[in-house]
Amino acid sequence: MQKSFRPLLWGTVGGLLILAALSGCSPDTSAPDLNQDARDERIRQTQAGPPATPIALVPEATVLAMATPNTTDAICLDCHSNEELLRELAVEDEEPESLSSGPG
Amino acid sequence: MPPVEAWERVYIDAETYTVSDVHAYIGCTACHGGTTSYNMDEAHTGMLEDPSADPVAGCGSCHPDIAPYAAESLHMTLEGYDTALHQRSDPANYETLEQMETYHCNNCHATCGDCHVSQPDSVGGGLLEGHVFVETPPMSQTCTACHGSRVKNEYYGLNEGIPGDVHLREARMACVDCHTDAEMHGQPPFDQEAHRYDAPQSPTCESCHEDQIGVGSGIPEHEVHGTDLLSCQVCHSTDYTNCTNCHVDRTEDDVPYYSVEEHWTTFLIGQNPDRTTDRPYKYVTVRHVPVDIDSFSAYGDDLLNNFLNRPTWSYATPHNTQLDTQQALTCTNCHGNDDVFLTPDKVAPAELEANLPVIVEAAPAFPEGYEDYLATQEPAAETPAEGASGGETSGDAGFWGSDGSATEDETESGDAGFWGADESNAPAETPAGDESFWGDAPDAESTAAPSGDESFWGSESAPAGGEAVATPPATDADFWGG
Repeated sequence: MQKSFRPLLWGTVGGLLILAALSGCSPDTSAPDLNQDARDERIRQTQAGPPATPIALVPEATVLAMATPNTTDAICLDCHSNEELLRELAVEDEEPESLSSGPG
Repeated sequence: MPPVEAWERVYIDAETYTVSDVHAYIGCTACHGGTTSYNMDEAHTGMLEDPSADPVAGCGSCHPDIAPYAAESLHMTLEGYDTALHQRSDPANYETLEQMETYHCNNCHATCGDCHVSQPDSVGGGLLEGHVFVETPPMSQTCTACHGSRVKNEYYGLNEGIPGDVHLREARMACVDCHTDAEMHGQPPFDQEAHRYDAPQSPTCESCHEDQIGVGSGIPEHEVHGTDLLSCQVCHSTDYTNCTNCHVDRTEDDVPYYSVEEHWTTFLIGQNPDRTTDRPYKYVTVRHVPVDIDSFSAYGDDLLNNFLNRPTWSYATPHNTQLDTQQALTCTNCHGNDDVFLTPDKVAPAELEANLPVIVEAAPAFPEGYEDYLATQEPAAETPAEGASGGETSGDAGFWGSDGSATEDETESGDAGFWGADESNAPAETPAGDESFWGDAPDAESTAAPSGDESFWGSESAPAGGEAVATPPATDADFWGG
């Protein structure tokens, strides 16, 4: 009985030793300590908010044009959104009587 | 489509435009030119009514991937007209033909703005939605405003007694649901075409009906005919408009007009004169070209001096698709039946030679052993799709699934006003209460009445020698300003 049990015991002990060795070789996946300087910079950026001027890969003039109220629009729209004025100024085309016949 | 009043054509919905449209970030004068002033004359001096008349200059800086192609597209250049007319003429006449086109054709050419901002000039122009740019042009105000007499009448079912297209009746599909933006804009692979049939076939039925095409589809008729013998329209279209002799002229006041003396609706199958890998079909639907040798005689003699350089019956893609049609009802409705084929007797004698590539000498007979095949088939349905209204008798339900209702995607057309509020499982008949869409409120019967057997199969097919039996389509005076 003891003789037949001994190989099994040694096998189990050997397996446990191999597992222990393998787990010792696995990479360390725990997070490293944060660099204190980087942490301070992140806090500073968060508190400072976004930069005053937009960062964009377009010409400054374009950015300014989009950010500035467009007086051109305002003047044009003053008239072109005024239904009453447009009705007053509209010149109805005199549609000539069509001489066309048949499916066009 | 009612005419837009003069004031309304230039009315800008400032509130919506400035809040919702990114184009509002660009100053008006940046695109339209003119001057910033409260003095109207001063403000409008040097103004461009349509900045997209030059797509590259007007739209290209922000849409560089589209504008250069659009500038060369068939929509913009109408090169398809030139291709056909030049082939029927010779270079000495090109300049005169161009003058003619200026009066009679060019107001149908489409700039970017003609579809995305306003209605085309051919229907009087006018802003679509108060200068708010419309990403998906509304079919009724843009596409069918130009593609009127054939596509519009066929698709909407405005030809008397002929139902509208199943894709509209059952699925409420708009033009852009099949025709892609690349096709509309002439982007690759549609950027090399000189005529619409030069380009890759688009749309194709296979795009949506892939598992219903050809061998392996499980549909007996498709199994038998395969994919290269017949275009889909050969079995799934009904009568469509044919014109023969559009003549153009101008009044003393320089107002252009046209007259079409002979037109009729019919259905005819011809040979495909230019079989390609893209369009391999041996048999296709054909219709007569709308011009004759004297169509432009008001501008000069013999302008189409090589009129017969091209067939006068041409490849056609009618827009009145149906699941069930007369010709698809039984095998004998095509096999051995000359009435549905462009046989020599239906072609004017003077045009016979020019149409040899298209003419079918006689209807194909049954192949050997067809009796055995027929014996294995179920009896054909008793009636074809005739009553379009309501979709109740169209037999299309199986085609569209369980109830034929449109999916959300299928109804994204930009035609919100047209489709109405409730798009779910709505009747397939003429949408009610949208007179602006339908123009002169078409006769309900025109979209619903069945196509009579006699008119389809009998004496009203294309006449010999150009003697047409007119079946006048519904008038569309509102569209044409008549």
